[in-house]
Amino acid sequence: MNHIKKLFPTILLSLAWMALFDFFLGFFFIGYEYNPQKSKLNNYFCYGISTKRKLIEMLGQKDSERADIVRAGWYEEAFNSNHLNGGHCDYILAIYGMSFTDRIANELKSIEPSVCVRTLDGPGAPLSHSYYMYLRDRDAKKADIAVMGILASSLPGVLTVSHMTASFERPGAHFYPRYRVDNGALISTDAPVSSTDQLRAILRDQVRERELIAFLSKEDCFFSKLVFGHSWADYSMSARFLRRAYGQHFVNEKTKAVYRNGKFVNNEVIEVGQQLVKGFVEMAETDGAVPVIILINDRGYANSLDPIFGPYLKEHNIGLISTSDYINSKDLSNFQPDGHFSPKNDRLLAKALLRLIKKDIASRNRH
Amino acid sequence: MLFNSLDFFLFFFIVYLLYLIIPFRSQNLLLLGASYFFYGCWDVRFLFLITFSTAVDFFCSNMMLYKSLGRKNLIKTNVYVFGATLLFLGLLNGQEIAWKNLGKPAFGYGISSMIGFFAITMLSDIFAKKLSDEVRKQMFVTLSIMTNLGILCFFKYFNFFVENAVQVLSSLGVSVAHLSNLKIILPVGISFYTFKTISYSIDVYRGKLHPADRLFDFALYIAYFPQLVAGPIDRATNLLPKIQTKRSIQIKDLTRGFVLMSYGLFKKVVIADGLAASVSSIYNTQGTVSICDILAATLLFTIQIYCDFSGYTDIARGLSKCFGIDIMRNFNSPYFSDTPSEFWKRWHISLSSWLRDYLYIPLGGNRSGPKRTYLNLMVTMALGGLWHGAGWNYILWGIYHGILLCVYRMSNFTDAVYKSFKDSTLVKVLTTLLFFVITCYGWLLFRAESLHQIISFSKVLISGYGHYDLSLKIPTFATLCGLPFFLMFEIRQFVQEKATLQFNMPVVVKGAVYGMMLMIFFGSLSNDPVQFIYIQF
Repeated sequence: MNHIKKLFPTILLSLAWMALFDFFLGFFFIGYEYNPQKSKLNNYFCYGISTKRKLIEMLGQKDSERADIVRAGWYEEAFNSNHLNGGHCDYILAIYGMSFTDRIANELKSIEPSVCVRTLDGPGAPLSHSYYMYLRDRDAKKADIAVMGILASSLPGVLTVSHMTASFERPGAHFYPRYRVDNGALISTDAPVSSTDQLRAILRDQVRERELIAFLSKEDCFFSKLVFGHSWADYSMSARFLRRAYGQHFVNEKTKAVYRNGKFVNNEVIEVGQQLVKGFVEMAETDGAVPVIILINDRGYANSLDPIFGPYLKEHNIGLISTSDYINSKDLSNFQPDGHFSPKNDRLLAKALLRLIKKDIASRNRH
Repeated sequence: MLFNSLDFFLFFFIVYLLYLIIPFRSQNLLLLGASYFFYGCWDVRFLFLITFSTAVDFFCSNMMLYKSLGRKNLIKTNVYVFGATLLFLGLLNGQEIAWKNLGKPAFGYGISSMIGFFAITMLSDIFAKKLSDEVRKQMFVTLSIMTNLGILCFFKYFNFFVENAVQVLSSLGVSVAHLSNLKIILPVGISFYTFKTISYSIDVYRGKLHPADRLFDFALYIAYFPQLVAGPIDRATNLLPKIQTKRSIQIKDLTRGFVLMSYGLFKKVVIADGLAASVSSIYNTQGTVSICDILAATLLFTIQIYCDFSGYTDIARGLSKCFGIDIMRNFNSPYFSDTPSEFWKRWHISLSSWLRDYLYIPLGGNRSGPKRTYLNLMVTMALGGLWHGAGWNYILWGIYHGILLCVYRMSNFTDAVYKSFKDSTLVKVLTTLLFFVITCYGWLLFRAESLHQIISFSKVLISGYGHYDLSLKIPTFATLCGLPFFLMFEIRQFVQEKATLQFNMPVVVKGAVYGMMLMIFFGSLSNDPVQFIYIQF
């Protein structure tokens, strides 16, 4: 009993001090608002803020106050931000993907200015987002070449409907359909959000917010109510750490169910992915564009996409670039600290894409 | 089931609640069942190895002295053999044991194994009676050691030896690639529990220990879950009596256990897991790295491996303390050593003492002159390196430490000048720092992914001056904040020359320290969890 009496004050004081540090940090240094533009250290303490709170802060009161990350990924934003050269274009190339393909596109523009490039992408966009962007883009400017980038680390995203779930630490706001395969045919469930304005209104309305949560719980495998919901935990640094740890554990477990031991093991992800690629290729050819697929095996995903998509693409002679053929994803010097390929590798891939395009275009012209 | 997982927390909570309310003999059965469950969570198929090894060693140890198992123990041992057979058949079936598919054939094999084992024990009984005591003891200790070493060598080293043989033969133009098709899976913890069983058999042979007369007590000694997958390699002379006698749990045992577990978790989650990504960013890359990268990554790995392994041991000791069972300390401030000899008295104490008592001394130790002593040291340390893993880098690491020990012995024999300075504090600090640097290079050998990496990194260390880029991934903020606390505790333990986490400071200050550490721990929970390094051995 004496032993417990000696320990009790220590335990109580430890908890009290922790609460004091928590308050001190939050009130004097970190603050309780969320601003992704602040320092890395500030962001470190903010990763565990609820997704809802982050979105509310980033969406602002109106569209003109939005943070950059919530602008990205919407079709209208991407469409409006693409300005083709006023002058001559040898080819028009449209790339549907994510930051990796965006970087390749920028290199391509600098290597070959006569190729006009339109990029319609989203942060960490999964295949379903890229497919959806192409669907929306079909009636827009015709492209000679339609390129779709498939990022290995984003492939599990075909089980999601929004960038805010699997990437809860730095959530985007854009939504895309959930695709499934039924008797060999692709069926889609559209998301109830199609603009930042709409999302802002939903988050201000409890009834609509509940409906959105119900939709995400049903259609998005990476959605967690605990990570999404705004609560008192947003005002405590310790609680933010615990929420972040929980969120990471949740996402890691979901990812492990999809990708294990160097390969994708989830049949739904593989099936849907293959149908999306097939659908994209067929649509592009119908639209008179040359389809090209870039398989991006990023850090930790060495050569995992090729067994899934390679056979179909090779069998149908579809233009294919696999980064595994050019870049060793086990060599960390090939990557920047943020996980993107180094600029040298972006250029390498851009040149490979250019060679493929010229070959494909030449081959089409002969026919 | 890692110690730092919610699953394990739930498992321990349930086991402990039951442990507190049941009587002594049932406690041992509970711990045994829990240990098998714990091990089975890693891979249920490999329970066959541990149960088979338990049955063989129990039989051999009793045959060494008592000539007979007795009816009860004979029945229990045969049941173990039956269970081991079923699990072995599950192993042959592949990843999942479809129990309903095993059915009649498995039952048949199990019964056959039992009958076979029973026949062996009967025949042994008849045969052993005709032998003298010494011959009988030698025969059964040899059988026990050969069985355990055979299991260890096959499961741990078969792939390694075959791959190397294929390489050598291929370079001579002999095509034997088909030999490397058999891929053996390494059972978790096999290096640890086989060394426990070997030490037990040898101690019985030497008369230091009476063989356990209850199979389940012995089985618990082998399979005791806090130390099953990553040690310490506790001696039967220490642990078995504690298992065989009734335990009483004091409140101070619980608090001490809790403190040990907390500090162990802190070292593992905050420091070791936080540094792992930084170390991997250099050691797992296949590109070129600078001298600064190698120095930084190696230093961080030196800290990582200590925190990982000693953290595991602290958690194991803490868990065991809660059960009222003290297990041996495995680390004693090893990085404060200033000589190789002292280092091996402070690092992985259970393994170094095992190698000393069961390998180095039987080889002759230092009793046969300097040349033979050096040879014994080299063989012992090389095999100690090999114990860690089937890889040339581990063997090189062992040889490296063997050379250090030999050089140290030579300097002791010849350098009287050193002796006159060694009590100087300044010299001690300098030699400690120097030896720390030497130890770090050893860890480079240990951590390297291949011999090629050892060579390329060593070349950079020797001639890489001028390229000082640092591309190492910076550890997380929580880890960086945790390092000063870790250093504070380690220095405190070294200065006090005992394993203590108690600080003589005002309770308000203590509360502040613990409060900050708790917050840092929460921040580190989002570090990517990394498997305990020594579990892979």
